[in-house]
Amino acid sequence: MTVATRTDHGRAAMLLPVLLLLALGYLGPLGMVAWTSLRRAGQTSLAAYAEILAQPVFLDIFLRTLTTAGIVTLFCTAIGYPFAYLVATRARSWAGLVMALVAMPYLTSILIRSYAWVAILGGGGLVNRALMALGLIEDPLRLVFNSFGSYVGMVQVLLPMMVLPLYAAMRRIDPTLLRAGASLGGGPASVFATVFLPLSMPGLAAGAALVFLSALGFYITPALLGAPGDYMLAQAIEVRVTTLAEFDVAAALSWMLFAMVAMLLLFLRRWIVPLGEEQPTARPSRVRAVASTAAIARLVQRAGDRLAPLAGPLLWIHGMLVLTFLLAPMVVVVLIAFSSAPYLTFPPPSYSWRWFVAFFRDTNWLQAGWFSLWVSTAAAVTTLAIGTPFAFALARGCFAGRRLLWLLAVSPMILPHIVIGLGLFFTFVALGLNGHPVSFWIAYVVTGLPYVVIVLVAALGRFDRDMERAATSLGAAPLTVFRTVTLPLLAASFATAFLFAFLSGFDDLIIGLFLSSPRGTTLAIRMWEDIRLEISPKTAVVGALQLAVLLVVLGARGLSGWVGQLRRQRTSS
Amino acid sequence: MVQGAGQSVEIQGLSKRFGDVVALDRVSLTVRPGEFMALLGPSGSGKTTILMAVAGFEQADTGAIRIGGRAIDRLPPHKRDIGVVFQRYALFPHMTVAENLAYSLRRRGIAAAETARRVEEALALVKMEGYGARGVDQLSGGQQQRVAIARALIFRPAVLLMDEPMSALDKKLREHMQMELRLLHRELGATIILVTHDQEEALSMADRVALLHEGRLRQMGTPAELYRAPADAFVAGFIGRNNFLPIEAGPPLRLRGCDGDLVGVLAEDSAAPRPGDVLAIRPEHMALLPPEVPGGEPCRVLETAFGGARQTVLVEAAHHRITVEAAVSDHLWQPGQAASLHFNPRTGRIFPAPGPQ
Repeated sequence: MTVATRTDHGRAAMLLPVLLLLALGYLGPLGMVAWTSLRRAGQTSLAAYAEILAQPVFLDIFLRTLTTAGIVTLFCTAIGYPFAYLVATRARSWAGLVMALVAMPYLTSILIRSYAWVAILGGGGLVNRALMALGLIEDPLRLVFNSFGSYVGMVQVLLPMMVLPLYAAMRRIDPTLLRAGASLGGGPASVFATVFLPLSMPGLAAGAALVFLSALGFYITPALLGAPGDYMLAQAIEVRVTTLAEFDVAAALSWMLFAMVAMLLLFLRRWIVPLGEEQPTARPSRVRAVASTAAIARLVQRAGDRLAPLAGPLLWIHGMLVLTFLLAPMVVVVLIAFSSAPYLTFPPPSYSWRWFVAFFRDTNWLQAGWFSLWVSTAAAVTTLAIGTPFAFALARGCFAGRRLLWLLAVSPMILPHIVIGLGLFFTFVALGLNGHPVSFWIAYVVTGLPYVVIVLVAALGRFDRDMERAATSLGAAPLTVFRTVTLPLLAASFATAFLFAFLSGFDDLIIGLFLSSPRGTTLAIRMWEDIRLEISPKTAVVGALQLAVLLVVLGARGLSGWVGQLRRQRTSS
Repeated sequence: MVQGAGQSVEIQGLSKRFGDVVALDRVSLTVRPGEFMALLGPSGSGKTTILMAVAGFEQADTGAIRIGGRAIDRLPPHKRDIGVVFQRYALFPHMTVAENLAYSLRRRGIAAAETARRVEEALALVKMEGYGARGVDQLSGGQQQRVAIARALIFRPAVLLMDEPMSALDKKLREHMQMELRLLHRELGATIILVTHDQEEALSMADRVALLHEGRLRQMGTPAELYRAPADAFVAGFIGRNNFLPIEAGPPLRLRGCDGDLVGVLAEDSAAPRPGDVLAIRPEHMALLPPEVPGGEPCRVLETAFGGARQTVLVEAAHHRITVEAAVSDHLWQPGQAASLHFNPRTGRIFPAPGPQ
């Protein structure tokens, strides 16, 4: 009994800091949004909701948001599935490198990637110039500042979210199952349709859910690349706060967006990144069995078997195009950073350091950069400090509500940041803290927490606890065990968690837009204002610098792994 | 399930390299129609490569494979009509037991009613009636194996290939399944090729055993032939257990450090002893008697292991360590005791150079 009570106290102490943070920086602000949405002229009323439901323009915005998210999800599926299939089944020896390349854009800010698309798709941009040079068109096509540009940007930004879970699910498929299918008489296409496809469904569902939910709350990409009038929900909310000051309507819209995403999230949670080792598995289903008996299905599969030899080359071509699509914005950003032109144009007329010089001479930018750097670092350190005990309690404890706590801590990653930002804005205004560095600090701990929890819970799930038991049996006290065994073995996971937590703050724009003040302006906001006003290559300089730092960090990690391997080989031979 | 008689499998001059590693080196063997053949060997001996080449999952560099006299080298795996039981069964996790069984029949466009009938038949064959609607993960290891066997047999393949099918089962269940598989083989008359590294499994189940080592076929024959007349020291060491004792002089045969000669110990078809050769003698072909019994080699008991009807005794005689299987009567040997070691007549065999285990 005493033992049980002691572990309960211990667990409470491990969970408490995160719970306090979530209360102050997440649940409280969401409550503030709900509260504000119900207040008009000092009274409780449903006026804001009534106004929204009465105006067709809001219905349009809701529908546009849903269809945009749906279309983006379809494109991501159509592009991502064959790509993940190629990497998981045919390019296994390259898989590590390719997936790192896929994750790279995910680690650079959405703002900078969207900005690059302006240069690629714009009137004088790369695509139009190429098409005109080929003589296919005479006048530049309108590829950006309309829904096409918005789709291209969103698909590029969200594609990694589709590919990563799909790839993970496909790697879990035992290749002998495919051999078994062949030995039982299934040709390549029918084995794919009857074995591989159904077994990859959990990954597809997870990817589609993540893409769709993220797209619902998208702000930057549609705002930058979309048509000026074609608002999605997040833009409508932002306009109501910053230009119209209709706080109750903004709050009501936010609350509706939040409710929509939260409900979908709860509904789809089985498919979205599962806790620890609980992997969703495909279950036997009647429908598929019926469908596969149909003679037509068999005919299609026969035809597919005939065409199967063509699939290989097509997949490789597709793979190259996808990698180009994912990485092109980053290459473009780097090239623009070295542009000698006084304005954004691509390709640059010639190359120079002038924009680097301009960046480092501009105290406004430097101050913003410094502010972003230290506030994101402080937030990441805090997140790791409070997230680590939280992740340990979740991964190793066995108590009711464990899944729910995990979902709660991870949800800020998926729920629209515009809603969280609005809630934090209301909260910090009420506390008199808005614009103070502390407000940014709290906000970025909340947004960084999901990454720390996901990475550490997964790492702990894979961790062999017998290592710790062995250390204990050899005479190490609990803290010594942690310091000498657990920490070194999980060092890479801690580094990954820190990197993601840091980037979630450093790359943030949306929350910053609400919190910014003369007391605190982040680099992302500085870039945003610059892009909106003059589009100079300064933003590209930030992108290039960030990319360089990332490459150094990832390169150092790769190198240290390589050196370690070399050393192990030395000692073993 | 009425099975047509199995087909023959002829393998001619099969070679395969993986980079610098020679996985198969000109292996030729023929499996007769309806025969149960075991491919036995340590890991890396090439046995699985042969199986994968027959199934069509690996392409051999040279050589030919015929089934029922028909060359199959150019057929893709799904057109070979060969049943395969995979090491960890490879049951489809997203299908029920019945759907797993029906899979091959659906691919062949067999009508639903006929499919349902044959699924029931196959379930009955492996004594799994009533399990059709279960998910695969609701089955025990033994049940999964039965389903895997039924799935591989249901489309009446010419040949059934089994890749270490018993390795995932515990000892009791394994022995039970081995017996059931024997019965099934007798009932169906199918040609079966079983890959295993477990010599007991190969010897107890197969009609004939092909012993492979480092990509080469070392010996092929009935289990009794392999046991009684191993072709070389490797086979002698791999099949059953053997003591290898260095020979000092011969003929007549004399062991290093021993005084007496061993007239009459050698089997009639053994090679003649020469200095530098080894004498292979199995633990069960020796007797351990009290030290006063004359005519034996004096020795001392080092260690013993009790095994029911028999006691395994490690003795030292003239600086050789020798393992002896002693019949257990009232007397159990104890470490430190002196004894006299006797070789049974016509059981020893001479091999050049000791075979590494």
